Amino acid sequence: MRKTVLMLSALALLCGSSAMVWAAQNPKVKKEIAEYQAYFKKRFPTVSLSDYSDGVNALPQYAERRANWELLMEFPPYDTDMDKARALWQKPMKSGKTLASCFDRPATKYPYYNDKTKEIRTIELDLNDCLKKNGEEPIKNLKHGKMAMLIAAFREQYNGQPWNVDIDSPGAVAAYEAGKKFYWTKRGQLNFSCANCHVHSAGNKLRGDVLSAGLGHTTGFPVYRTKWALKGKPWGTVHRRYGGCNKQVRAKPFKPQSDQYRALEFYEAAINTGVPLKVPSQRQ
Amino acid sequence: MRKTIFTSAVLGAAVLLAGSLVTIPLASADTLPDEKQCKKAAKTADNVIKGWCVAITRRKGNCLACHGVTTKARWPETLPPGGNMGPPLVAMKQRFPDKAKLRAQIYDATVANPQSVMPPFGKHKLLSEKEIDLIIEWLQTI
Repeated sequence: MRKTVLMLSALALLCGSSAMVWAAQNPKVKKEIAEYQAYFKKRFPTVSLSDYSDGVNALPQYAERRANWELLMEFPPYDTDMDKARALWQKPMKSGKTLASCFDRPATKYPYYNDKTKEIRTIELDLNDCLKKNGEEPIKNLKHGKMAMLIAAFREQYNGQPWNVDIDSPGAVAAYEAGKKFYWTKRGQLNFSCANCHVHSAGNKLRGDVLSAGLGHTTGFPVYRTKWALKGKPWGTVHRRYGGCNKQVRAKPFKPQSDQYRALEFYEAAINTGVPLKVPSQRQ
Repeated sequence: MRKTIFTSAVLGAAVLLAGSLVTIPLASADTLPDEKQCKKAAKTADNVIKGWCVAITRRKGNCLACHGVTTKARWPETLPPGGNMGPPLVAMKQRFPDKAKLRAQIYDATVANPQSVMPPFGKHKLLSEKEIDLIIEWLQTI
């Protein structure tokens, strides 16, 4: 019996992977992604690749507090807002079309490099273009509120599907390299790189707080944070979080949708190839 | 019977009283100041306590963010224990018999080890020269 189940699941896995269109990746990039993920496999042997969608909650060092988070998830605090966001996503714009009409690319393929405009395109940029094209005002605030909620309504439709961005054209590889450089470069008065905390020290404690692993980062965004909820703005985009991180190491943050943050977002998407999306997420 | 109860109660109270007389003064004298108490203590305290205060204050050394510390004096109840991003601060006098070496580590740890993730407290002016000296005085005592 057990054997049959095993064979069947192996078969399902095979079919699944052959049916899935895997990301087109430059061989060097592909090798670096494998190395990055292997590091975490070694550091946290009990955590599977898909577990990382749960962010810091996936780490054994966080086990005690995970129970609290699971209780919270029985009635997630973002439920009412998500209902509003879904309604907004389906509401016809002035042209009569819905936002969905602009998105033929799945959320698992965002961000992407646009060879014509020679830039990294994020959901934020495409969403605002879509609004303009259909007679609506673009959303000004790229950090919290409506923009974050609409992205959540789009991305959640791909929950459970592995992230899978394309990095094959020279432009895309260059953007990946720029993001990689940002990730591994020390910055700010405190002199920390992203990697210093979230790769080298992942799972370690900063006073009582556990440092999350870089693997899994942004798979759950937009995020609904308790810390931000206390200030009345619970929702945040990836770039809002990047700004906060930069401030914490006492560096001047870049603007949301700046070249720097879009490249970083692209790099983080790349190193999370294969990790399933799980949107929205609740974090402290 | 009633008398026995009374005697033992008196005896118990006496033991409790004696116990409290012994422990209470010791506890208050031996407990290190927490971050809030440090604001006052920093003016009058000796250099070792001043150094401790620079080390635990978040906008100063914030050493406890990354380092666990074992102190001989009692740890303040209101102060959370240190993290484990960096190595624990134990036997510092034995590990750094040369004060200059310890100072160089705090000033800029990336000189001795480019892979170090410790913020360069001197080089980036996170702490003043005087504050680094105070931390060293405290570190010599643990």
